[in-house]
Parts: sequence; C-alpha cells; structure tokens
Amino acid sequence: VLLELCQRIYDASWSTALRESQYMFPLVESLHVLSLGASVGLVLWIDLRFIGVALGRRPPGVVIGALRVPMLAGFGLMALTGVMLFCSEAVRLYPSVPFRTKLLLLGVAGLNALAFEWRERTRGRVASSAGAVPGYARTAGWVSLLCWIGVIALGRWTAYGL
Amino acid sequence: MGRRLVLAACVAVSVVGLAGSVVAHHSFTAEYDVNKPVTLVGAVTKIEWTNPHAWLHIEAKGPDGAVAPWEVELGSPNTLIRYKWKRDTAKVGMTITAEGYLSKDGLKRINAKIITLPDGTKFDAGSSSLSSTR
Repeated sequence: VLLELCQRIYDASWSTALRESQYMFPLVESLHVLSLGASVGLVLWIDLRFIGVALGRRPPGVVIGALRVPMLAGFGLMALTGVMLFCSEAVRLYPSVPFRTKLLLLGVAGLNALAFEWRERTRGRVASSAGAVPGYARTAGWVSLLCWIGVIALGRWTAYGL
Repeated sequence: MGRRLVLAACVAVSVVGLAGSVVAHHSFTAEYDVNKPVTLVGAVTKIEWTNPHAWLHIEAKGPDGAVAPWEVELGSPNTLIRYKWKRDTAKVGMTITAEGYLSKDGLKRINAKIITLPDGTKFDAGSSSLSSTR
C-alpha cells in the first residue's frame, strides 16, 4: 500500500517536473542542506550545552531562547524541501534501507525533543540556572546529538549509495 | 557590519552547497569498476530524464555475448544540457553506442562516458566517471 502511494506520488505531475528539472532539483537540494545548517547546526549547540561541553556559563533557557526561532524556521524549510526531494524520488527511496533508517532516527530525535519539552513545561528546572543540567536533560542532549549525526550520515549514504 | 557578515556567510554557504550538490551525488568508484570498460550497442527502449541522474535503457549484447536489457547511467539533466543534450537527443528505437564502465554489483548496468548516435555524433554522458579523466 505504501509502495503504491509512493508510485502515485512519483507519477504526479509536480514531482515529475521536479525530477526532470534542470535547475529546480539542485536548488531544492541546496536549500535542504542550507536549512540543515540553520536547524541542526543550532541544535548541536543546545545539545553540547546539555552534555556539558559548551556554553556552560549560560543558562540553557538563554541558549535555547536565543536560537529557537531560526532553528524552527530552519526545520520548517528542511522538512519542506526534504518532502519535495522525497516525492521526486519516492519509488527509488521507498526500499532504501539507509533512507528508512534515517526516517526512524528523525522520529526518535523528534520524540526526544518533544518529550524533553513536555517534561520541561510540566515540572522542569533546567532553564534558568547556569552550570550542569540534571541527568534527564543530559540524556536528551546525547540522544539528540547522536540521532542528528546519524540522520546526516544516513542522508549522505542514501544519496551516494542509491 | 554584523548584517553584512551574515549575508556573506549565507552567499558562501549557498554557493558551496550548490556546487556540491550539482557535481557530486554518487561516488563513481563505489558503484562502478574503472578497470572494466564496456561498449554496448543497442536499441533504446526507455529514457529516464531524471534527477539526480538520467538513465537510458537499451537492449544490447553484453560482454558475455547475450542480448539483454541494460541500464546506462548518465549525468544529471543539468549536466547533460550543458553537454548540448536535448531531451530528445536519444529517442526510443534509436540504436546507440554507449561506452562506459561496468557495475561492480553484477547488474547489467554501466556508467556511461560517451554516447554515440546512429549518425556518428558523440555526446559526453556527463557522468561521474569523467571527473577522474577530465
């Protein structure tokens, strides 16, 4: 059923146009990588703050607050261009193991961020103090860091080994 | 000053990104064997004018002597257009000659270097194998 859906997406006029385009495809690819820098590049610093490697004197709330808007904007563009690229190659990507693993890690990274956010809003104490964060925030930082490294590596693997 | 720096960084990043995504995509050596050059002659059965790479499907006699469907990998549409290709340069039914390198994983697939049309016109296939000889 999913493969059928992929075939239908692949055959749609707009995804075919992107697949057969001279400039649009490399442009969308470039925007995907650029927005990756603007989103994952910022997440990296938040993760490093949590695991105790960087920005230790600034309260996490200050770090996150400063980066949140460009980070979310980057995620939005990355998701949009990612979906476009997927649609243009849906049938070829569907069976790809690195691509499936990448989606899985994306899911884990997303759930990890949401879970942390939820915990923080209900009873969190991470935001305001300088220095080391509690264990659960440190874990969230590690999970996020490793997931995103995996996502990027698997994205490259998908493109180069397809 | 700060704003200018940000702008310069944005431009630099997009130029690098664009160059990277246009030039690269597959690593040739991971998929094809540069020590196994192949020349195939056969009729085109299908043309896929697609990103990231275009494909010609031909019915050709392989190195083992058997006639079979072969997949011929070309460059991206953008690269092909730069090498003077048009979407109808190769047509279904046309007998073409494809020179390239054999796939490493045993598939009937080559990475083309040069495509020759029935009238003798040669087209650079714009594929990644050329980066080593260009």
